[in-house]
Amino acid sequence: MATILLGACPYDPSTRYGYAYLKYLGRLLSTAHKIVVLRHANLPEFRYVLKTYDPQLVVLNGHGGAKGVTGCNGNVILGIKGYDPDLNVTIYRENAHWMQGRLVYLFTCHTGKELAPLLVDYGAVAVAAFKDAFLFLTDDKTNALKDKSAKPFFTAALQLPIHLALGRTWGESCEAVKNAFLYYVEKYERLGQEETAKYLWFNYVNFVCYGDVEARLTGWESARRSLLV
Amino acid sequence: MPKKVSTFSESVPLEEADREKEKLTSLGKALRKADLEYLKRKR
Repeated sequence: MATILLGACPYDPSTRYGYAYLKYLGRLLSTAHKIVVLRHANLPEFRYVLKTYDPQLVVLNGHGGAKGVTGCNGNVILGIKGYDPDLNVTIYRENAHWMQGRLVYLFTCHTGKELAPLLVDYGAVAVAAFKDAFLFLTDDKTNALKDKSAKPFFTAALQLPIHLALGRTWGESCEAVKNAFLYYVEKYERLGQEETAKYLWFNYVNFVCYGDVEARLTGWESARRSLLV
Repeated sequence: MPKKVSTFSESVPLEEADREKEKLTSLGKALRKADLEYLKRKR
């Protein structure tokens, strides 16, 4: 059994979707792994959960830029020094070393450009992210999980933690995300819904993975048994 | 409800996406890039 941290900040219309899907994912995986959900991700709470639970996999959803991820109060919770043009902030203190020894999924916009590869340089085992904006469609439903337009985008993106939880390697799990995006691109093209296919394709193109492709979550054999029963 | 196209920071109704592309917003830029990337796929 591994410990998985799911960090989110559901206070914007768009991040509400990210939180709903992460919460759902947490429920799915909780039979096999220890799940910690950080609903109000800010710097002190992020530091606290990392110290207290020492998660092997960290999944962060929120606003992202080339150099950082912001939390609920708009402050950067994970970042490297420098001016971030996407977030329009200058980051004066960095904490990339907090990800040392961990698998990290930055489910945000833009973090694949600089932050993700640098986290690996700072000691993260492996990192996945999107190089540009993560685009998705919504029907603007109150219940994000019932939003049919959003579903293919989040289903594809969350194949990474799902496959890791099932015992697949980092490389296999990244491939699963790519395969899922491509599956939906082709599906919506067949249906003649090119607008949807276009945004799915954009996420497919911008999804990047760095680090140890052979890395897995600990306790994956028993986790696989309990999740596949 | 009208469909919207979103990032985790911004969103606009899908019918206003073309108008958004003319702006210098992060979403506008991303929508323009998405058009270009999809054109490459279609070629």
